[in-house]
Amino acid sequence: MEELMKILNEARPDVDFENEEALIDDGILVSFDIIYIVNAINEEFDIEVNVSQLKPENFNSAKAMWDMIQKMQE
Amino acid sequence: MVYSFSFLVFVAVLLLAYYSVFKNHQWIVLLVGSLAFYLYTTPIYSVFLVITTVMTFFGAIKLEQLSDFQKSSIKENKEIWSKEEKKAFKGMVSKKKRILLTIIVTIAFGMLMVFKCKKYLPYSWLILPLGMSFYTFQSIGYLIDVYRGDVKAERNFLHYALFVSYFPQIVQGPINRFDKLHHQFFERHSLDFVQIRSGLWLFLWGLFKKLVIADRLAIFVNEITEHTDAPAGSLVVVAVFLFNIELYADFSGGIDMVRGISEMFGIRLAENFNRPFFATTIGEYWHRWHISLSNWIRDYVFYPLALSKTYARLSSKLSKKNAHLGRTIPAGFVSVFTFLLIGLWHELSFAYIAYGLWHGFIMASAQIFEPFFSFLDRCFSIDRDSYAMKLFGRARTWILISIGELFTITGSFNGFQRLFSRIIHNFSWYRVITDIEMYSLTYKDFFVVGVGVIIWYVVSVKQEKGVHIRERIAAQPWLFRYALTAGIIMITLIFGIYGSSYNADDFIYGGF
Repeated sequence: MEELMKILNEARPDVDFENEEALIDDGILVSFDIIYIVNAINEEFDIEVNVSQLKPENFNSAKAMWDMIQKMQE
Repeated sequence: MVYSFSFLVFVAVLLLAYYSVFKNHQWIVLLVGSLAFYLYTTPIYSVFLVITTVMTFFGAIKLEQLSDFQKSSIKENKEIWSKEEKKAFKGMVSKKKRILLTIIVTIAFGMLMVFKCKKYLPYSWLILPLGMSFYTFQSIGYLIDVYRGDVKAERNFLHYALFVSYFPQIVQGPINRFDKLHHQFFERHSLDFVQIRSGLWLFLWGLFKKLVIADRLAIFVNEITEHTDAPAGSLVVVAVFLFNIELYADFSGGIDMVRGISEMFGIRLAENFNRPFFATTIGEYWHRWHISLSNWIRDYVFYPLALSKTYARLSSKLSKKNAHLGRTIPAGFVSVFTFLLIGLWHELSFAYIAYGLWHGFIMASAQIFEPFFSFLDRCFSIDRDSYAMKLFGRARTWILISIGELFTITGSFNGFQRLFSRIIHNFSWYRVITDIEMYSLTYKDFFVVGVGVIIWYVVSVKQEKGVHIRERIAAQPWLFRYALTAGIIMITLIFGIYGSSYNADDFIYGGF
């Protein structure tokens, strides 16, 4: 989780990733951010997040992203 | 026939059949209605709808068969194949899928492009088939969903044909997604007076925006932009400003009518607008304007490009030098490219290439120069969430959009040049007052538009605050509801602008 938080804070230092739970639904993260985060996650965790996984439910909170990463690593 | 009196009779007959004799086969009513509508409005060019439907239907099944074959073969040979053999097999099947997808997408978009660039071809007499831009995008979206394994391929051709040709949406969208729309056709919809009334209200609201606001403004805007009698630059600026309102009233009015009709059948279509002129940035504007197209481009073009290996390599290379540039430069390139496509979706012309590039460059530069803008905010202690800054943001967005519209309003480079030179060399601000009635609209007309826009604005502010207008009206006493319904019908009848006949060309987006 720490590595993920580092990526997220690098992408958008102005966002409170600990508490936000509607990052996509409230339009806090824009497509530029999502692309940066996904490419960084792919590199860091050695996974390949594909386009089908770019759904709000996977990116609305840091926890949702972490759950997705863990599921993919299994 | 689109939205003429005979069209309303057609809808009424379908509704009657839908909720009575054929209540156990409702989808068949919709299919027969959709085919009849399309064959009536687009007899010869229906062949392109048939080609796209057949091609994407069988293509999707083949793609799914290949995916299933890939999965089952790997499972069967799990113990026998080495890791390399599995990889090679997977690669081979994936390549087949990619080739098939590419062929179908190329043919579908190729047909569309022939019509989009007809003015440069010796076949300029060709007429863009009704709804081609919409049904091509909708069916290709479905095909890509099947390719990705996000939806199951439809095995019943007639079920699929209804998804592609559903009559309310085919004229000007919205571009629907298979997983959101398709299943609704096969659910049982019982007669629900409240739902039919709600759909009717939405339809009337759209009709009001179209006939009272858009069509009235169109007269003025067309006079200013099409005539070469040298209107003052200030009037050109007013015309571009009003064109924004016209375009929004025309397109969102049309979509409200489409969604209203569809709701009467119990079918909910995708949202296409979310009060775009409340957007404080161009990025936000594209989340609120023609949502179904921008989401389509985001999901099927922007994301795939931005998740490609080339992109990742470029981004990581730049990130080593500067994290911000690594994040924004490659995304900026992709952004410009995707907006260029949005421009081309409308038409292959200077006007729409310039329109697309303009939006793309604004989107890219907003991200690339963000640290600089933040620095300015800090220097001048500006709070972006303050009311004044939001107001400033809305005005800035409106101006940037208007510049984009200046490219498209005449549809040609010469026209753009002519209008632009009027603004620069002959602004004459006072002529807004002295000359404004010279272009077919009287002060009385502007008053009608003004009142219409104020009503619309008040409704939009309420909606922006989360009020569901139709539910609110439904909760009022019956006398109020009937008076309101009768009122909007009367206002539209008295103050609406009526052409000699209605067809798709009467809607700006019906022409794309």
